Amino acid sequence: MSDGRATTAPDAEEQALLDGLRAGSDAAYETLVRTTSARLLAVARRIVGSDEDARDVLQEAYASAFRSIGRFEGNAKLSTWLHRIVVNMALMRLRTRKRKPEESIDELLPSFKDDGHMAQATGRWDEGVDVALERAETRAFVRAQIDKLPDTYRTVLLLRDIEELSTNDVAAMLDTTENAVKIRLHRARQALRALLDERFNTAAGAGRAAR
Amino acid sequence: MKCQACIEFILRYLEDDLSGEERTAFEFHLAKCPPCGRYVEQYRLTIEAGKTACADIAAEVGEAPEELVQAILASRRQS
Repeated sequence: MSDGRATTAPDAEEQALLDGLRAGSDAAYETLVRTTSARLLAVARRIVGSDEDARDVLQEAYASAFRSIGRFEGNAKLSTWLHRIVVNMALMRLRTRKRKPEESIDELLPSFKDDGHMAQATGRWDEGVDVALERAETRAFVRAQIDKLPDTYRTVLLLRDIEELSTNDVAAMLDTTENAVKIRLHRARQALRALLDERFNTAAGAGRAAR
Repeated sequence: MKCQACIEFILRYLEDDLSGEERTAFEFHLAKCPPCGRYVEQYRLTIEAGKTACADIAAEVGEAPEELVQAILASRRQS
């Protein structure tokens, strides 16, 4: 959901905003913050995992953006440029935060018998996952499951699948290889699938009170 | 192909990053192994569910708090 990586000429509205920012217009700065902060706060919160840290990240990111607005070349959208700054600041915050040993996600991954077949058959999911996702409650459940993933996996899943950054960009941001990004992303998706299974698996659902 | 190899191929399959031979073996396995077929479908749905759930900014944070907006704007005047 980043606003695309394509290089495009700014439209008239974006150009006017950029001109205002470069001229130091208070109104332009206020417009920029008011039109971008809600989404960027969500981006930061998902990465750092707390409202308080996310607000700090946002303040630092905007302060950094304001200082370097003169160097913004206008070959990406302003919102894309800000998005990158926020993601980088959020990742930095995660790295500097006191790290506790990460929980293993192995039990959320499929296991296999010696002959290479799955140790447990995959259950069926309700036909209507799409319909279930139309409910705010289901969407909140999915977000809560993403939050449960250990940092290493959550960040890669967020950056690749939610923020839709390229494997190459994510590898650079996390200072790792593209292959490592792919391995982590694959494990993260599998772990999230197992967490969603509790809700969407028909058999598991049948055993619970309907809600 | 066994289930284990099939599951390992999902990401590369979805990124269209398998060789012709690998793709054929993967699709052949899926056609005869319903549990793996379901797994691949659920893997795909998981990605979609994440996207849908996180597109819901309004429910997640609503508007940025006014004091945060003000603090951000104030930081500019200090720099």
